[in-house]
Amino acid sequence: MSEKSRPDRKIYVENRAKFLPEDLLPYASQWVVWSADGSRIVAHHSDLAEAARQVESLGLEREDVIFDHLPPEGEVTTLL
Amino acid sequence: MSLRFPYLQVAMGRPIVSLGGKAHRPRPVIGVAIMGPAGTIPYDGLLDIGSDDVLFPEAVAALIGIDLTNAPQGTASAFGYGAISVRYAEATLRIADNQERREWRAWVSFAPVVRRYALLGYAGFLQYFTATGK
Repeated sequence: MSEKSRPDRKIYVENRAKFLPEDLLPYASQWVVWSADGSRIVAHHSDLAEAARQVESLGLEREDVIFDHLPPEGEVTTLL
Repeated sequence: MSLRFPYLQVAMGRPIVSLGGKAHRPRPVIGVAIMGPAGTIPYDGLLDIGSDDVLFPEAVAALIGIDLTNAPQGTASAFGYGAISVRYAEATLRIADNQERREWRAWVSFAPVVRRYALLGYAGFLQYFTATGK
């Protein structure tokens, strides 16, 4: 996916904002791969290389998605 | 021209006392792609004017084909982790909004720990921009 065809970052932000901490808790300590529009998690695994392999097995390119890692406690409530 | 990014709005699922009861924490997190000889990883990075360097997890270096075996080393102080060893390597970074994109080579530090977001600090990132936030 070229940068030109990547969804507006505002859409990604709007969709990501819909995920509550409890929604992400099952992915704690895992690499999470978001769809480019932030609306869904397309892959997840404790090993980044395996998460990337899952992306490829779905027929997606790495540039079609966004990689993220959730800490052991899930989405952290406060960053300091 | 300016690159403009919205704050990432992170749902907390409960009222945030320090924000007067709001439900979302705005964070200056932007999309950044890091590129190496074996590929590209789009990632979320925290714009951090308090960080000296750019910091990514070592696992990212491995995935994009950056060999850290003989990389220059350093020590960094990371909140929650104390002193950690980091290794430096050159990588290409790219940011883009709907209007334009910027891509450059930078020295990036890689750590064996994984923080919530990549850190986009001064050396290799903010040194090239005038960042304003609101």
